[in-house]
Amino acid sequence: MTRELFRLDPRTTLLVVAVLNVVMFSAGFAGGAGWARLVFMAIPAVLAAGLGRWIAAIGYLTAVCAAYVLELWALDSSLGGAGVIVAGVAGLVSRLAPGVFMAYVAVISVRVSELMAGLEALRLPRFVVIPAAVVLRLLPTVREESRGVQAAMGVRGLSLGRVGPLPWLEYRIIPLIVSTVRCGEELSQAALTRGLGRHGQANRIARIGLRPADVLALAAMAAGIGVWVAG
Amino acid sequence: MPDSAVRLDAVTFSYGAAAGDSLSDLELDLRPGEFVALTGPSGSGKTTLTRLINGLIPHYYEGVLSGKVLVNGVDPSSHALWRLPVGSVFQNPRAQFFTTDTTSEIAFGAENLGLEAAEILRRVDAAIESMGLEELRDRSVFALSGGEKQRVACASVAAVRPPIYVLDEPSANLDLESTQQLRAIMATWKASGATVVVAEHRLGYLRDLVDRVLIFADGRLRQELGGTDFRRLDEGQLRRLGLRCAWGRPLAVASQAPDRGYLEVSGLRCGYRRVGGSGLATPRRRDVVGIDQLRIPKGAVTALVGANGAGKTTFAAWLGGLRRDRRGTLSDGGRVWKRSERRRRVFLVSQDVNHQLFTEAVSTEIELALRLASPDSGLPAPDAAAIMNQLDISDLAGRHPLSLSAGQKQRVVVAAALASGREVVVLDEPTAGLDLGHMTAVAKALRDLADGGRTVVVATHDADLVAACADNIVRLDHGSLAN
Repeated sequence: MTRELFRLDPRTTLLVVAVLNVVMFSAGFAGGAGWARLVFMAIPAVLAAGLGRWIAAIGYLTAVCAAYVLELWALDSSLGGAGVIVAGVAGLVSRLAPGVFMAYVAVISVRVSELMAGLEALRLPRFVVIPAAVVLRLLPTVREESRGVQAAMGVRGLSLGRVGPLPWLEYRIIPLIVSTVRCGEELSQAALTRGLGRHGQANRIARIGLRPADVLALAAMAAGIGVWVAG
Repeated sequence: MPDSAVRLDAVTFSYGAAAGDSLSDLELDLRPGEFVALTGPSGSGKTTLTRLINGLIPHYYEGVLSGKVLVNGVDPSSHALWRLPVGSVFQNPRAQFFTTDTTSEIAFGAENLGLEAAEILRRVDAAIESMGLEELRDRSVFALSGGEKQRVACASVAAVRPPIYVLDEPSANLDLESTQQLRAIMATWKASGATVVVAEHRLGYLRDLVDRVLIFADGRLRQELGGTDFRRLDEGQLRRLGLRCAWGRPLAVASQAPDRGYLEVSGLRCGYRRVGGSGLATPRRRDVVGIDQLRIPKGAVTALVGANGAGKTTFAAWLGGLRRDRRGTLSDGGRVWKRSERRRRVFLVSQDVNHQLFTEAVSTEIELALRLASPDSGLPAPDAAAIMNQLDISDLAGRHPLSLSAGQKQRVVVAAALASGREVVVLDEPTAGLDLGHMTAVAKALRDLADGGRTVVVATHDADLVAACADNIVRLDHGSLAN
């Protein structure tokens, strides 16, 4: 499977998320900083495309590049106050979107078993590992439940126009929360009966570790930071 | 080995503030290797007993516990949960997986115990082999059917090799074939000498396995039957004990459809992605519901039957106008209902009723549906009180819908369907996991809908439900009509 080649070790994934966000919010355009941002903007797009999410990758890349160019143009233009506003909004998009998209890549590529294995290998405490695993596990469930609620609202004719915004929001959110919480509860019961509460080292069979994709991702990050520092 | 696998002495438990059904004054002694079924209506306390055995009481549900519990000779309250020698399988196949791929899931329990990696892999392989799960290796758990999920859950528990297995309504969401596969797995556990405790409403598939049947009511053990005595019971006796027809009845209709005309489905082609199936790591196979012509009698209850994955849910969604497929029409006396019209005239009750209850009280739920009712149905518009009366939920009027039992929720949604004034009501598995009393109540509600002039289509595995209310049976097999 070629897609396997684009899956990073969970620890690498978390490192990319962290470094990417730091770069996005501390680099401007001066010197190599603009280039560094472009490199980091590209990383999640390449990963997503490699994982088969071509449409998402192209959509993201188009949006984030447009925001980047717009920010650059608005800063250079003589628009005055309007230019500052445009640059501010475009800058926010071009800096937030890569982090959000990288988080999406993490969610679609990291398996819960690998995340637990990776975080436990880092000797992180259980109160970090388990909630992180639970969040990752519940995200697809939240999406499933959300679709169910949406369909049910359609069946009942509970549209925004007919019931008004506040009730609409209530009908949209409350059943979602209730069913997600219920699912989380059942999940934790099942996990507890299967030894999740035990203290002490668990041996995980999920295969984690540096693979070619990790090396490339780390090299890309090093290159990005390199051009920033050198410039 | 201790003389008793499970021993309860004068055990009384109540959940206190948490929701749940209490147990009073229970004496119980299960021998090692015994296969025991717990049954009785919802709320009778059988789930509570499973929790006393697997340690969720008192480790997860604190409540008020008195008396003495011994599981394999140890008191669960003085041992950490992970030390208890019990493997648990739960009702909801969607919500018992901690990881997202099957192999990791099967390994999960053994991993947590801190076994060596090589030993874990050996046990995973052994569990996969003994249960015939080779095709389910390394799959995403989200792409499995309900039956496949339950088999993976069983393998995951078996990889720990506990001497005691506890299952809480494991077959509630399964079709006949998956239930048989589950039965085969339990039979291997029994043969290996393990103690197996199963809480169930439908005992038919366990008939040859049980050594003892414990019947609960109102938190008490009401009756105890040996396996041989249990197998001798006939349908009438089972019913008097409040049990579902145990011996797997053939599908048969309750009555003949009245002649009130037909809704006609024709030329339907509806692609769907079937979850489950064997082979590929990520199933991409597209299945198609193809129905050239089908007549659905108006003012009657039509049961839509067929195995999991046969396309029942897809067909139901299409009827309700939830799908955009353009090939196929639903018509009434030659007049075609376009998709937007199907959405207005058809009320779809989907499998998970928790998604379909929106307000904070049963009565407001009905009032909301009345307020949004389609004005053009030509059916008489009843008021909320009459509807609640008809469905026997008047005494629940002030309750929060999500605090009700599964069978009560089903009836509230059916009441909303009635209030919506729509002519057609389509339900997807409304009686999964319901006991005899609740199943009968839902069947009566559907019967009433049809007798009141509505057209009812119910996708179901439940032969008891079909026998109790259907006028007409339509069987789907791999997306096509079967005879």
